[in-house]
Amino acid sequence: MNKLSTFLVACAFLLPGCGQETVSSGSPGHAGGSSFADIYAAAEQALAVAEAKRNVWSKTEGLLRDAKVANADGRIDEAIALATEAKLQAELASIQADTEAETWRTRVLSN
Amino acid sequence: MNNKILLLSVIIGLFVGAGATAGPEEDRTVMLEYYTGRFPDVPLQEFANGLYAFDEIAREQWIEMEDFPPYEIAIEDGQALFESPFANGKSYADCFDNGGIGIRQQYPHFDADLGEVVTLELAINQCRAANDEESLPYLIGDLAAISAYMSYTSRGNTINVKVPQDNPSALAAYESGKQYYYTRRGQLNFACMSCHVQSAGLMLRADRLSTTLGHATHWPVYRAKWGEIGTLQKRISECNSQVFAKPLQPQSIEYRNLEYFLTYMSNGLELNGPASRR
Repeated sequence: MNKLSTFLVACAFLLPGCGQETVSSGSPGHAGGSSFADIYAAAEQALAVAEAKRNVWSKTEGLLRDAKVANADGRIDEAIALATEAKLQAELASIQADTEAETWRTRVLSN
Repeated sequence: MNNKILLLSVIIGLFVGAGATAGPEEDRTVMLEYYTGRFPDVPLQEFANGLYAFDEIAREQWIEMEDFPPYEIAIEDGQALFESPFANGKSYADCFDNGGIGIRQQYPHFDADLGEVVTLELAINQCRAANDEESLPYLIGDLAAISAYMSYTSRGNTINVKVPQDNPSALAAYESGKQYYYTRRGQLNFACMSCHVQSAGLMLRADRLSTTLGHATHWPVYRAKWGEIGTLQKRISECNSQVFAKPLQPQSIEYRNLEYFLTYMSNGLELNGPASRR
């Protein structure tokens, strides 16, 4: 669990914009200058990158689906929060895949 | 307890390192030494019984379950399906060596013509396709039942998966499976080895974690939590889900290569499938 925490904290520092895309309540459709459509598109893009690396986390697509439903229902703040979470997950999955491309070797059993 | 943890840390520390470039047989030997060192009281063939090799209470429950094996119906269904002719009059027996009887130990194998690893389940669907029959779903149902019957006829045979040293593509497939096994994935950031090497024998919530050695001996499996029989790749998909990684498609290249690596690690153990698990 400590490793996971470290990983997530490290990723938060590594990712430009991570944690900066705050949701401002009371401004439907806009969060820190980004509309739901912008964030959703960015999340889809990040997901496509992770998919290409064959490393998608299991909750990410569901978050995007929920974001779409929330947006359609007019729950804009919630929709933006969900899409932002999906984008973050997809970006972290990509970083994980890149890091693991070599790091796996350090775990192989050997004499 | 602290001494046990210290001993475990020393054992893991002795073995985990720069084995990334080792060949298949060296990998298998090291893994064998690791588990036999960690579980010195467990006879080698017992590893084919998973956690029941070293969890006495779970073993007693498992032996009781085996009095009326929950996979028996799947074997009977599988035999009936296996022996039913296709629309063209041919049958599964026409697709496999020895009429498909007692051959599971040869799978997975690297098909040099196809340039890919072929698992038994893939071969079953290849047989269907060659006879103009529709593919069956890979994880449960009829295909799992046919696989269960074929495993049953192979009980007692020794796993003998080959990675041809003179075929770079076969070695690459093996290496790809090995990479998948040691790669962390999912939101929980776990590799297969996190549970089944580092933590093998320890408890994860209410379950004791099994060893990689013996993972490929006993499929398909009737799992009580599934309430039905399922293939090894169903379990791999489930493992992915448990660490919050999106599972890949059944029989994807990655899963077949992983199965190639996993099964090679159990070379020399006797097949004992189908089996029952909690």
